[in-house]
Amino acid sequence: MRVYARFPFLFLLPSLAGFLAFNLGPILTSLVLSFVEYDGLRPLTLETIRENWVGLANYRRLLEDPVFHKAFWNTLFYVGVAVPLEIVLALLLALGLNRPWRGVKVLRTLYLLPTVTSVVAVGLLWRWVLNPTVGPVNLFLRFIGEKLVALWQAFGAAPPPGLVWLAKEGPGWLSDPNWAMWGVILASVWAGVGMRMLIFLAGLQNINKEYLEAASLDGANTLQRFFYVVLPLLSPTVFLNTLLAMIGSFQVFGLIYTMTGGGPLDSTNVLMLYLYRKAFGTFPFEMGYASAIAWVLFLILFALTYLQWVLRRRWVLEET
Amino acid sequence: MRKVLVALLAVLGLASAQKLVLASWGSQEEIQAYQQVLRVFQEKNPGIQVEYINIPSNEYLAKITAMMAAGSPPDVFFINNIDFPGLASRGVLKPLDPFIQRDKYPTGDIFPGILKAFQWEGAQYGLPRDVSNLVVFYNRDLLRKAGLPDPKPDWTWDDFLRYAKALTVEKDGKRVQWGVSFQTFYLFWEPWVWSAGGRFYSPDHSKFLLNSPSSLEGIQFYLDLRYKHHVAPTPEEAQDRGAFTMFLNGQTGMIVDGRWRVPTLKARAKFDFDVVPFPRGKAGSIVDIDGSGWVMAAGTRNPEAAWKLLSFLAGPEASQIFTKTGLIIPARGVDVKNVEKSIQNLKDFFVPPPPRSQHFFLTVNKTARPTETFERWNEALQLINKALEPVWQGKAELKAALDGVAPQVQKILDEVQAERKKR
Repeated sequence: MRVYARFPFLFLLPSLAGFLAFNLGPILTSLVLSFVEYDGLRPLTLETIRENWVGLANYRRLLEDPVFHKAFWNTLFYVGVAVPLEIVLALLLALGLNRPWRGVKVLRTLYLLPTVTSVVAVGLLWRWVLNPTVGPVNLFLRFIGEKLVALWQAFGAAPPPGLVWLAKEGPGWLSDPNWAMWGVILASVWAGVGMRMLIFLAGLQNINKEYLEAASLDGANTLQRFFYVVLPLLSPTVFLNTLLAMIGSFQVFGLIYTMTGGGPLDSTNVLMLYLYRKAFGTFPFEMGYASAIAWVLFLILFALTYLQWVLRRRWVLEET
Repeated sequence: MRKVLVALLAVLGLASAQKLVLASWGSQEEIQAYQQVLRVFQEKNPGIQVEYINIPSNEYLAKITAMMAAGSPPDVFFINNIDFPGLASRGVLKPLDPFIQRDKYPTGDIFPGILKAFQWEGAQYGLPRDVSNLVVFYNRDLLRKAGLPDPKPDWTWDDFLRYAKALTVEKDGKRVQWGVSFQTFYLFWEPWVWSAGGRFYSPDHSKFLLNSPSSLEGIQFYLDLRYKHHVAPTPEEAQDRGAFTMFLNGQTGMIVDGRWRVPTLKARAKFDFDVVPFPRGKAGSIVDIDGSGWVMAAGTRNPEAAWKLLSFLAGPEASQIFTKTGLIIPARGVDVKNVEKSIQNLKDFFVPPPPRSQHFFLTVNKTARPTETFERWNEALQLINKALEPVWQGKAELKAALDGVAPQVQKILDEVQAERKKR
């Protein structure tokens, strides 16, 4: 019996050792680093830490740093727009593709393809797609704009200046500080919706058809069936998807790095990107400050995840 | 017994073969040049083993920092003069003066400007390999079409503007050719600042001077090329085409750029081109003389062997091998008082024309000065660039933008002064 008690621990050991060495160790080191000013040009010994200890100075600097504030609000904006957009679109797609039609499997694969594409490839692709002069998005928008302007003129009225601008130029997307973040959000939703759709499909297929039949027998139409049967039964999946999407979106990096590098004028600067630039961007590096940013990000995510778990008890249907 | 002694001596012999690590960035041709140099070095120094690490330039500083953080920095590594103060000021480099004085190492034929760029607080920490500077490249075919002769080497800013205007061509009301390409990287507006008599900082880096009247005059002249005289393409007109690409495709007549463009132009330009020094402003024609060189890590375990390697890399023999690649202007081999004469010594530097006037790459070094770098140059430059971003797009006023960023840059300068006093 004693031997049996030790066995599970031995099986856990390799994974645990890896976690301690490659996850826990660096995480604790980064916590210590956030209280130190470190440029990486000397080995990180206790002496180096003692000599360069600055206490809460890095955190205080965050409070005054205008670029940090911009990155912070940009990140919140990005999450606040991209996540709901992704969830809603993915839900609609999943509902639409949850049918035994011919070719539905092909469509599902096509929607999933962007998710498995390298994030750098997605970024480069969308840089071209959003090109203000020759990209497909603006070509389409200008086409719509021209048709609408023609419509106005057919009635003998002067078209509003907004439509004229749309017909002639269209948004400046990644070169315009007012549009760049929207461009990034478009690319990100395009790339992420497939995975969310997949999870929703799994959740939808888990819903017992008998509930739906019972509801239609009781006289519920499609919309009522959706809101009173499907959605409540899907709520654990919605919770899971939202949580995953939120955690992922807070850590967006590769896409923005490839598409805009944080510009123009810091309009797409987000926390992870700012952190990276502070740690490895301009030489000499500021790893202590970057660590402080990393821990602030961690605390935000922790708080939001806790909030979601609390809300879960209220909003998510528990299976008996 | 004797067998044991022999075995022991052999093992000791292998162990005493000193190992050095050399790091640099560089293209394929440069790697081959390094291998050739190291081969000659190994022949002359059989007891020293050199391991050469080539690191891509975009992760170079991060990798060197990582090696230093791990406690095993490369013994000798390559660094450019812009990043040099950041390293030298943090005490991670070994001063080379004791070695230079002891061996009476010849430094008389190195351009003084670039030798100085690797000094910190009076001590020599590195030895340069190459210099890079700026000249004006011009498209001779377009000049002929506009009826212009080749520009004279002592031409002025007014001459430059005249040429640029003559080279700007409109078709059906739209500009299809511009006089000069426009680049917003600091290196390319630096000469306009200096030649107008302005500076980025005071020589001791205690004052921010980019918003002084002469500096503003220089940058404003450059900016006016775009928005007042319309001889340089605006971002909308350029439409994502790079400045050099436009010159290469014959869409602009001139570009301020460096020697590193020559191989590409020779291979792909469909026109005759040549170079001429930067036009003279109020203070003359002053371009940058920047360059890269080798430094020794303070934590090296074999300083003597490292010095042997470093002094060889920066020496005349290795300099010839690097120059033959055609990618660099050597820092060495120049008689500063008589640059024209030393051009005879640098026959490996010259490639068959075009360009015809390659000697300008060497003569402009006479009046050139290194970029005004200091410990936190990169940080300050980032702030300046951010402030200038809307100015280059024609959306903000130059003086207001620089006055706006002046307090933040001055704060960095003040902090640096305080740090220096503490040391």
